[in-house]
Amino acid sequence: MSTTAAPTDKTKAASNGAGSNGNFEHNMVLAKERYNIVGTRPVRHDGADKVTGRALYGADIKLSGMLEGAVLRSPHAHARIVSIDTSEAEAMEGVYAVVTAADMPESGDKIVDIGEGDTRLSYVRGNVLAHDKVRYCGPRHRGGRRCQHARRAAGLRKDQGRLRAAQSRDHHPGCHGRRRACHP
Amino acid sequence: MQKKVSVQATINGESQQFLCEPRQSLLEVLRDELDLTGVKEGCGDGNCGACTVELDGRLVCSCLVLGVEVDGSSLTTVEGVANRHELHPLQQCFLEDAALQCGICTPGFLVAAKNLLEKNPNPSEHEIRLHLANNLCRCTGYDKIVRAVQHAAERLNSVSA
Amino acid sequence: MHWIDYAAPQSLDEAVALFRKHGADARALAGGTDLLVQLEDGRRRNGFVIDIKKIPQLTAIDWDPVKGLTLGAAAPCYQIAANADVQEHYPGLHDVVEMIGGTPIQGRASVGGNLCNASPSADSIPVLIAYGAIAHIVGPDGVRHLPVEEFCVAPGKNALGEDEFLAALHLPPPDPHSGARYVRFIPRNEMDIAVVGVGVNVTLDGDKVSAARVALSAVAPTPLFVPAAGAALVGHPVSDETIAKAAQAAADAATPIDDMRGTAKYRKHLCGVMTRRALEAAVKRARGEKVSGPVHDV
Repeated sequence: MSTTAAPTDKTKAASNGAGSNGNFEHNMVLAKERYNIVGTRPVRHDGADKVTGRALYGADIKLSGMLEGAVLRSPHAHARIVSIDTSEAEAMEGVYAVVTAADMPESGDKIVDIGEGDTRLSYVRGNVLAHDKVRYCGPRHRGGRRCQHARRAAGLRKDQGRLRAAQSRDHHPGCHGRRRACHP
Repeated sequence: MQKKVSVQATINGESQQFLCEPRQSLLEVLRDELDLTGVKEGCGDGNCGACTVELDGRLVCSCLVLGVEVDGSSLTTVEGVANRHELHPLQQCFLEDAALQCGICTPGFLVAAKNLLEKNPNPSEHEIRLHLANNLCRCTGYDKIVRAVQHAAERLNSVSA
Repeated sequence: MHWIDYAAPQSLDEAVALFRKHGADARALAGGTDLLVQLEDGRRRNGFVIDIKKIPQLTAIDWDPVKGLTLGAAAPCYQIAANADVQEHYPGLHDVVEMIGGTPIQGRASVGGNLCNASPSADSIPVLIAYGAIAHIVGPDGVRHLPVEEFCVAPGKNALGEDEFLAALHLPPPDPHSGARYVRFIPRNEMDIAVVGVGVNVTLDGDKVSAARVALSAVAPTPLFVPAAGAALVGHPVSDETIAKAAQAAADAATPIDDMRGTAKYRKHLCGVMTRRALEAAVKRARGEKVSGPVHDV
């Protein structure tokens, strides 16, 4: 097959070249042509903004009327969620909504390709907002702390979670979710 | 009574006055009150170094300083590293040596590295790594960052020589 | 963070009045590297933060050959590490202050704060105990003195009364022919919490040990003074055998827990190993040899 023969030839040519000056690994393929971009080391196009602090990330943007979220993370890894009581947080002035896994659609347990290979949908769903069982003991990763209020509301639920953890040693309750990421 | 406090500080060479709540961290004040969003928030508890700024010549994690504490102080953030006309050699070397990708840790690294080179113009690789041990990078890796700092030191020394 | 009020007194008297007024609601702020994290995540609920850094005595570092070393409770680690008297006379303390946290933490964190935070794994406390440091506690009735080994009473709890604060730490002048050392075991080179930490101070009389103090961290609810380890050395010549006995006494005194940093059994074993290494280095210092380099083993 000619399609497999071509790269073999190239590899051979490259390794011959490497043999002559000894600077290259044997399996390195060298281009015979010079390209404008490939093979050069351009400075990244967003670099100047990033090294001067001008680059704007999600957490850097404020919009009028924007709501702020805060995520409650589990204090325990692999904890079973017994219950989540959001009533006190919901009753707080200024709290617009409290979201738990119960607010998300039931995904069913099918295998789908979500762009990075086949994935079990029920696992993905559990990674967005935990239901039934918490997988991680979450590090506190915060996207922005503009709204102290959201933090305190999340804190309310956290305190309650701990209370129940003390009551039931084997079934640590908790709630896990993902905060707005601060990666671009 | 819950009252905001008036604070005066010199930030990147300019005198600034702002109001803040005593519970607000310097990080919150810089980002939310003064719009210096180049200062990034990572862990919020002094581990990652993304929020590193210079406070009266010393590096601090701005998440571990209260805004009210800096009254009368002088601060440098990443926004103050370059001068009006050109990038600082550190910034230039970070670009040339590809020492950044997502860029969240970069402001902290730049402020910390600038602080190092001002105190020690010829740091060894070990000294660079030790000084930057409080700055975490999760995508680029440290070798390129260390190399960029070494190149910037060479460049600064050749200019001053 | 919940709402807090903030005051930065300029004198000890002002601070005394503030602590008296706010009692249990008040908490002293020095470097803030522990306190602000704890207030943020709700572990501490104090409503009044008193910044003690603006009081000149509280950041002072004074050395006197007769009186010894007085460290202001809020003096940051980098200032202590850079102090020539500390470098010359208290190398064991220098071991610690140049190693706590990274550069930005050292710019703020204080030894006094490390003590008040009363963490079982605090790095500076074993070495303070080894040096026989005394805490100067200021309250409405004046100053009282407390040996550092009695200062921590439980994890995160110290012996300060509601209206008291730590003003200074006093380290007696080192005996001639004495040497101190702090070593710790951590899984990485920088920025970690001790699995086991050991602070020792040894005084030699010829080839014999005339005084010795050993203290451990991260192996008990509070940093642990081990008089039995010192007693195993005093009156005996320095030898592998006597050092091994002291190391065994340290391991026996430890009551560690299992956690993500190591099992109790492992920690007990490490206590012996690290005590031996600390003592060997302290003896070298007592004999006038220089000991530097990393203070932790990986």
